[in-house]
Amino acid sequence: MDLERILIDRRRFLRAGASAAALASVAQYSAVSARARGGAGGDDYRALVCVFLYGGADTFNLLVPASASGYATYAASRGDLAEARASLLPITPVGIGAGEYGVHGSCPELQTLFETGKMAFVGNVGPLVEPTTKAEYLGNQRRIPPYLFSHNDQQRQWQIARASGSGEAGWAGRLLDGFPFAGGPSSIPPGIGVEQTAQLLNGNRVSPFVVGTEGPLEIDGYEASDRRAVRDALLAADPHPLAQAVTRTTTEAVDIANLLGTELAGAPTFETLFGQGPLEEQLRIVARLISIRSQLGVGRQVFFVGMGGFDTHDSQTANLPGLFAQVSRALGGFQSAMEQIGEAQRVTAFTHTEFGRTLSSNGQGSDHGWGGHAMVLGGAVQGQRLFGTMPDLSLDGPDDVGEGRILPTTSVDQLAATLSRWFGATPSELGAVFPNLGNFQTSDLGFLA
Amino acid sequence: MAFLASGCSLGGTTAGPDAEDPGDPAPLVSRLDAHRFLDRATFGATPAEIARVRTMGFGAWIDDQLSRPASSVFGPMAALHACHPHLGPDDEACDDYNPTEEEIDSIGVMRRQLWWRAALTGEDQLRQRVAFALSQIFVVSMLHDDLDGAPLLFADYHDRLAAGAFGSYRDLVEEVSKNSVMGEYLGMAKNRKADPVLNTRPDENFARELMQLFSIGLSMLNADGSVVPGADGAPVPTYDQFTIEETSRALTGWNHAWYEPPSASLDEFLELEYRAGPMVPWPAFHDTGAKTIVGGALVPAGQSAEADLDAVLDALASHPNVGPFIGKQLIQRLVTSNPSPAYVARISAVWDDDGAGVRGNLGAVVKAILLDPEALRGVRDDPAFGLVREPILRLSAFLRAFDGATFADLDSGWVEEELGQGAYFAPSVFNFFRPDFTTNELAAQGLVSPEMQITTHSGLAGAHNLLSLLVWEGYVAYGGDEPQPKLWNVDGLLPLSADPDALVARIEERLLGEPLPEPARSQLVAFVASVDLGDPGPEQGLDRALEAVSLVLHSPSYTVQN
Repeated sequence: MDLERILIDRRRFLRAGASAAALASVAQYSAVSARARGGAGGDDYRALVCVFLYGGADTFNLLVPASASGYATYAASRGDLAEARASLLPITPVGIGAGEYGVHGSCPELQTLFETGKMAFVGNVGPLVEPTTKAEYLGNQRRIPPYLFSHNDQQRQWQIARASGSGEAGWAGRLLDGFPFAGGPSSIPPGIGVEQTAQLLNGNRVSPFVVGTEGPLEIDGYEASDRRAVRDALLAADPHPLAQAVTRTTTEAVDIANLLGTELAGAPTFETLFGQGPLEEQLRIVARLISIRSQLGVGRQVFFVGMGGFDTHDSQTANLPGLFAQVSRALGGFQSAMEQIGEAQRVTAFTHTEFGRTLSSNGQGSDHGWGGHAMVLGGAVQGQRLFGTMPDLSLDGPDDVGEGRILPTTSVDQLAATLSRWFGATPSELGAVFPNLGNFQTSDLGFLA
Repeated sequence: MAFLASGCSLGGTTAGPDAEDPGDPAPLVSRLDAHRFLDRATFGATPAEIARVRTMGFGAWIDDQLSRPASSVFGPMAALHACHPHLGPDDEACDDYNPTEEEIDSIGVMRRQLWWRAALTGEDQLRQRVAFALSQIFVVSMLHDDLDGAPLLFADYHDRLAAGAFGSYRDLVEEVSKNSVMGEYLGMAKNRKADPVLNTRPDENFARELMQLFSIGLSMLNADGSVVPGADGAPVPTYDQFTIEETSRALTGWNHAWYEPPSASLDEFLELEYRAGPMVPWPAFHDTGAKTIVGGALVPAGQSAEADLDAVLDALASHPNVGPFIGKQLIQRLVTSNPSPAYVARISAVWDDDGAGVRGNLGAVVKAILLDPEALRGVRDDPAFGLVREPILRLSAFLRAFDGATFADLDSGWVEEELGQGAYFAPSVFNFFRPDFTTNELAAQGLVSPEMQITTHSGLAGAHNLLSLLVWEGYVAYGGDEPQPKLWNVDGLLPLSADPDALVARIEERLLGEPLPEPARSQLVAFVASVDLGDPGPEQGLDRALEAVSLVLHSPSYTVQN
């Protein structure tokens, strides 16, 4: 339809025109010294990147036992969901060696990242209030997270990392609350979500900023100052609390989008490192934003990206390879981008997913589980290792609380605290951010130097 | 249709007639109240509908709407694509039929167009608006690997939601549970009893989400929607994992309805493709053992798949949570994000008994929601009353206010993408947003705003830019080989452009029902006056009109419905 083409052309025109708004110079920001923790510039920069696999990724098919006995146990439990042994890509974990484990056949990038020491797995992580054995769980002898095996509840528990607690603040948000100048003098929110907001980034003080995969989306049409003045007056005029929430978001969108957009114009595009997949597009903009961190003067940042489709009750064997392949390509591209701009040591990416899945099959897929494996990635990661405890994958075994739902042996709190310590939190801050951390034997899983 | 005497009497009496309208014969409802009411009950207020509400009164207007037949999205599509395999025709004339890629694409376009046509022009506005709300409770989505090519199924599903929007909840939840698109989306289709040889057990997905999202929720609720505290002060779960496993067994043995009789062959059971409409039982794959379901109810051994499904749905539909759980969400979709506990309790009471002893009468519930004194008083009593319009409603209310029906002729896929929302395109069964989403600032005031979850910086900018585009480019009919539609009609505004105050007032009347807050309104009028009126001719005053419409449309006063 002609009109549609005209509208699309016009839209492009509006987009291009909007970026003409020139902004404060780079120098204004980079000249400010690192006057406080997480302040501007230089080597004092750390970024965490959360890759959330929505739906509950079947990570027991991502990292798979490959020895004769280990594979036999795995295959017996998984039935028609088992990956073929020959399809696994072999890895050689430090201290374990060859032949014991492999990664899913659709993940050559993950195999390479692991083997080159840039990626590690943390085995069997999940929401816990305190260490819990199967007997204690079945006997109701320990506090357990409420509404286990429910998507939104376990998503929340991963993001707030205090499974017994209430409140809206996520663990990264609470962490960032302690870095008052993390966003630099420009007050760019230190938590940035790509295409979505996330509880993880919500603190008691900080709230996330949300960008699109091409960068912050600018609000078009206000180059003219008289029109802008009316717009601003309308934004300020309505006292309704919901109107004020809209106003706040609009104002931030205008201010921050302009600032980020200007700097992004000169940033590398990393086009050869990323394809068109949803996680690739999201991690590409994260890489681009990290590449301008000096210009922005930011000191500490947490990014959030996410991809759905992992709730593989049906068609698991058909769909899981494509999902894992996208994760693998995206993480591979991201690590290359960080190396290319010399930030690999200062950036750590990690996966969250609300739960692992049942080892047992429902005939077409798997159902909601509890524990699962996490990945940690970056130059500071003690790679090529398996941290935590690898679970016993036998049905009705010591880690199975029913149908192959695996009881976690490492808590989300421990995983998050390890990341937070590397980020710069002091021991007392860790205790404040993670109130249940003291329930567990160690607050540092050791995967970051 | 059960009738609510209390609601009806409220209809005409709460708000007085407008003083400034001497011409109308003693309207029952003020212009502002009619506008606010229609924001909730339709896809946007129009002058004609405002006039009808004012002369009929709220209660009679609702009764009229309750009796109107549903617009059909599926009907025209089914007629045009009778041989499509998703309709599973048993017809020799269709034997050699295979849809081309173009045809498949065109079906997806048509599904959107007919949905928008029903939303923008349907005479059954209340039914369509409630169906939209229900589509965000009984969520199915085309963003699903196995369903993205099945627009016919979604059209059929939509019509079933619309048909059932004023009927019994028990009937509707059964319709939803049996529907093949839901069966495919959450896996009740092909769900089968445990197979000891293959070492499989039933799929738990539908059993879980049926309880968590479509009926009773996770925690025991009071009638006012508050959570019942247990002995230890913690919420009391409505069910546990064992209940889910048992319920999933009761829901085994269903598959898509084809004309071949169900067989006992596993290969045939698993190979069946979906087709629009209700699923049918395949007895060989149903688990006939006894089950213990929600609330400890026992499903006896030896029952059919239909009897087991009935037992599960009966137990859920009679659970005390359904009224507050579903009722509160309907209030949030239509009227306000933060209803008082008393408002929720009044709706729960209607849910439990519509006045004629009928439970779960959705028409009565909708009527009670719209006629509740808290809704009719609104911001007069509660300064936080209302909701952030979701993007679809931001667009639809603008189009309806300015004769924008021709928008439905567009291939609107890209529009919905820019807008950040399309019907039946939720990212997961948890909808576009969750009912309890809030921000730090709102949480500090004890408020939630589900729609703020997608009103992010980028979401807001995307919807804003799309609306700007439609305002600035959609007012005119573009040429080309064929006549092109205007997407909205600016003509009525042009004669007012010489008087900026009158121009702004007309736009306020169409979009807000009330004046913008000062001092912003005066600034807007002054700005409009500063815009060149243009040369005499048919487009004189156009720039003023476009400036004013776009600024009002982007004001938070429009973005928030109160």
